[in-house]
Amino acid sequence: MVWYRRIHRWLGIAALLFLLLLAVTGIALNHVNEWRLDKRHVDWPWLLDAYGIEAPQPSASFADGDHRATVLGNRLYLDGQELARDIGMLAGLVTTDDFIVVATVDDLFILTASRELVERRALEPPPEAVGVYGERVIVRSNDGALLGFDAQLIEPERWEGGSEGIHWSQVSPIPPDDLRLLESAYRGRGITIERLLADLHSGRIFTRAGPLLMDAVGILLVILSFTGLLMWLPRSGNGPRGNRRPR
Amino acid sequence: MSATRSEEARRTAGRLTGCAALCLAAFAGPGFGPPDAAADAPGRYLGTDEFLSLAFGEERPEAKVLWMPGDVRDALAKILGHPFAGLRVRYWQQGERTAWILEEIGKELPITIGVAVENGQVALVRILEFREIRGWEVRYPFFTDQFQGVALTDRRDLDARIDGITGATLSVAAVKGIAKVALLLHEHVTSDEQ
Repeated sequence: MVWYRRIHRWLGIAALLFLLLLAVTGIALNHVNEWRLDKRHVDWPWLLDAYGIEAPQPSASFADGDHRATVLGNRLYLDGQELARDIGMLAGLVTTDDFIVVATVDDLFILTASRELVERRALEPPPEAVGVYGERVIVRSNDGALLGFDAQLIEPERWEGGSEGIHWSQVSPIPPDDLRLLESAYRGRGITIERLLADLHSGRIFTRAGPLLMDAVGILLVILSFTGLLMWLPRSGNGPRGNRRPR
Repeated sequence: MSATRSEEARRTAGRLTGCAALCLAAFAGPGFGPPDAAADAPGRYLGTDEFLSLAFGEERPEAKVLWMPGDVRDALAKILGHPFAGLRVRYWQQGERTAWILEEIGKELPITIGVAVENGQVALVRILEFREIRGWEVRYPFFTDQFQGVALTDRRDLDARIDGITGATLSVAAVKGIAKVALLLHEHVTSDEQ
């Protein structure tokens, strides 16, 4: 057998499984949006352990009455339910008869007493703390200015009443049971199917050696392409290499 | 292997190697250098005041608040494919022109989008803030300028085709969704006044 035919045959067999993996994951990755693979998650404990997905320690937690706001990583949770992502530091939580107000350094989340989001708005300058004076919500911005909101929490105006009598939101240690529920909620979303497929496709799922292995498969495919081309090229006097006429 | 076949194989291999080298050189050349990361990075591109200045000029109106009735929220949910986040929305109005600053999730994080509407047509679209690492191309005028003059059809679609951007499908969809939302909300506030 000609040498390149032998190489082509054995490398082809060696590459078969990897080629199947690349093809299947590649096709799926081409249809992420249609198949909603970026919205569906896998939460197998052994897989999450392999990915090292652990809930971070809460950076801050505030409570007022029956309500608690906590930031885990960059996720904001209110009463155990995820409220938003990409959140910076938590500045406080206060409640009035009609509203729940959660302040972060970037935004003010205004919710009804039944936790329905009314509005998420940015405040300039950013809030540093939030409190109540009677039924009025007071925000202290990071330049020390005090802003008081109207009853509907629509527009703040400069608070001239001073700091006396304002009950500022205070950091509150989160009970262990609540923390466990939050950690489960944080971890529970798991990783997206898209991410799993992408890591399988690139070999990253097989730790550090994985990408090198996939590089080797890539080189192997290049060699297969050349040997395949050599097999296809006509030899002098005979037609295509694959159709050698008997003498 | 005979001398003729061996020589042919070497020539073929040589030609293929040369082609491969040319391709690599083309991609590695100055025309294909790394992009300017700072210019193209996600981030905050425009402040609220700057956007409102673009929308209204020097005389900026006071903000108003629209508490959205159930039918409007249902219509927004149909447009976006998910419930609209919030029971009320802040807007600015001067005469027949309104301006809205709204957020919509691209892939995982919200995009802050400003839309000005006048007489039922989009007057201005700007990306105020983009938080994800892909899809930020929607901030450029070649994309946002397409929305000028666009209105809503009876079926609440945009009445003009908006060309997408390869690799920014979800960001494009988010901007288109917010344009429809702004047009619908404009229709609601201006028809209420009438």
